[in-house]
Amino acid sequence: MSTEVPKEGEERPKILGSGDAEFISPETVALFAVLTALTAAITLMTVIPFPPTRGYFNLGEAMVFFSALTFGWRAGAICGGVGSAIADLLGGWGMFAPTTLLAKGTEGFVSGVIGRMNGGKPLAYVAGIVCGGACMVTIYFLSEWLFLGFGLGPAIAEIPTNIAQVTIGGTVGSLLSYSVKLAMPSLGK
Amino acid sequence: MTGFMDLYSERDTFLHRLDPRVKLLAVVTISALAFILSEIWSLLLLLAFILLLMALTGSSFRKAFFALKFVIRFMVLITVLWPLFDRSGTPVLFSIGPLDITEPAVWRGATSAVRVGCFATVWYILMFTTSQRDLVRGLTKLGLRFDYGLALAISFRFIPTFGLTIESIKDAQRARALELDRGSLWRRSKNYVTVLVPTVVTALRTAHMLSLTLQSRAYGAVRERTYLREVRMGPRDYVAAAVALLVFLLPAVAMYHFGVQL
Repeated sequence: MSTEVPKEGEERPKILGSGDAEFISPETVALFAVLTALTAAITLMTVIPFPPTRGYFNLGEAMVFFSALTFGWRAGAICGGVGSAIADLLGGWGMFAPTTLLAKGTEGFVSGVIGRMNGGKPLAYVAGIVCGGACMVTIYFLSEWLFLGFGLGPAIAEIPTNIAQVTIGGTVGSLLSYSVKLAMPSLGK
Repeated sequence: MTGFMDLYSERDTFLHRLDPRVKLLAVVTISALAFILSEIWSLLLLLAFILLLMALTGSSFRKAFFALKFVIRFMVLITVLWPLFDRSGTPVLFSIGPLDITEPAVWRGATSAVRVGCFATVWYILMFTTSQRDLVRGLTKLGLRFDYGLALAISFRFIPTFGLTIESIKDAQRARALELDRGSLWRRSKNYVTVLVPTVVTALRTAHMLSLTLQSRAYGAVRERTYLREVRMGPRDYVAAAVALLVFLLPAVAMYHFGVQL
């Protein structure tokens, strides 16, 4: 059986797997789709009933950090941002969706970039989570105050909730990243 | 289960038949209008208009109630908290300790509450009338690359699946004496790790299978895509798009060109 080698300058048939970088690879599509769905599902399903925060407290944050710390900033930004925004849309608070896309996307991006520096040492994890969380809290605050017009009071009232969410989400997310890497050693290379 | 409700319901109203792009445009223009309006009466009028559209979506009372419960909670929160932080203006209505509640602040609080109400309710028109499939299709028509669109469509499809996975793993761990409903917030969250690790591992295995499936179904084999369902703008869609634009442009021109207070 002979395989025809395309001659110089000749248009190659557009088939994936022949080094054609036109599309993102099927592995990436599957991984991103699953991480996005997981972020949305966890955000919607794990609302921890806790009276002082009116029940908005959820562990979706943990998935944003998990994606960013395990698979890098691209996964963190896309899956974290889009997944959380989808959760907002489906959960019925669509007006937050654009803000969430920006806030969680930035959070995933920043924690992915910083958290994987130095080969993902614990210190880098912590620094990534702190910087990413700070971005998220700031963007939510600015957007609620200036853009959505909540006013200064309600926007400030949201800050402690968001900080608690980042703290717990960051801890759970880094624990998750650590345990899942133990369970599946081939991950995140 | 604290799960979520599928906001979309299958109906045959004119809003359901509209092109998803037009509905997205309407969400943007109505939000922009709510952003520039500053008088409470015009904002109330806009809110009434949005609620009328919401009634026209023909959704069940249960869904509308679910939606409005959330919106009203937010509006009350803003109305109450605003005057506490905004102490400018006179006359002072009453004082609680060092806090002065002034009349203009109360009005400003009510105005922003109505504005937030507009921001919040306008999304329900989109979510009540657009299926996830159409939403993704609209986004790809707006220029989202199809591979990202595919990832988005797949993730929409997997959200309920993973929801069920989380539920069953939660039950399985509860059967092994895991406590998720007791203790401090910190303790509860830490206990959730034992639920999330199996969930994530299951999901990543799914991702592996999914990538094999995509390859076996010739994902990306041809550059020019064809679609089973084609979304096209009909005359009705152009009229609706024009109306959506005018809803924003007319008050904007009146405000900024003719100086009308709205």
